[in-house]
Amino acid sequence: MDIPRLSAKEAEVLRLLIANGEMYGLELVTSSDVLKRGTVYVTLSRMAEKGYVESRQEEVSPGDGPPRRLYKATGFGARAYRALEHAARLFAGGEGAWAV
Amino acid sequence: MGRLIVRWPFKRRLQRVWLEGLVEGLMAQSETGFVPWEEIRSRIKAEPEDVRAVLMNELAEWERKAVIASTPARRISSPPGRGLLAIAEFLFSARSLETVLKPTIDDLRSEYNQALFECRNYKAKWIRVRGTWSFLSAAGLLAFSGFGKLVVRVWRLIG
Repeated sequence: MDIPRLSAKEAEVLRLLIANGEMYGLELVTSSDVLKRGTVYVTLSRMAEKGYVESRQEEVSPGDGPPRRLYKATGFGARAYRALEHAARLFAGGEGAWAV
Repeated sequence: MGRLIVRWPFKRRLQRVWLEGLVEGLMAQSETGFVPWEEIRSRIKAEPEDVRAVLMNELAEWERKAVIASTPARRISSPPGRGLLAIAEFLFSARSLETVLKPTIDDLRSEYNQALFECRNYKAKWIRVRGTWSFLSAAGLLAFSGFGKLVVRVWRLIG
């Protein structure tokens, strides 16, 4: 089995989606310093291909624009993010697991 | 000595000069800054009947032009990103359009509408420029990754 790999942007998207539930692209951009307007949807599309996120089109228009595409983390995406978080903690020596 | 005959155009010109003087005088007195049409009309009513009709007609014409000039120009403009989307429809797949390019334009429109709703016209213009740049960045990335995938596929076929 391939070990899921996450780029910094993908990890940031997953962090926000896990914390806030469903979000749309602009909301992700405004909540983060890492994500940019021009690249967020390319990142989300790539993540959807990998199975980290899933999306649906909003049924009702929010009023100030057309209906938006909402994204949420899949179970696989959440597991991949938690694994990365855990690995980062271990690597930082937080749990001392590397001191064999 | 013959009778002096004033021809109508000359007489009308004199009436116009009189009317212009009256309007200027009343405008100078007016504190509101608006043309006091009612006051001008009441002054004209004091003139002889044959003069009154011409002046009223002239005044009505002035008023009509003033109303047109003071009405702000309104025009229907297409939403931002319409042209970009039309071009992208030719260049990219329906899936790329649906998942990447259209949401980028939707965000641009949403922010643009919000700025216009708040009467922040310069912000709306800036959002339009920024949104166009975002769209071009996304389109560029898509094209680049598409080219990369093609190279990998060809490489695998050869290898």
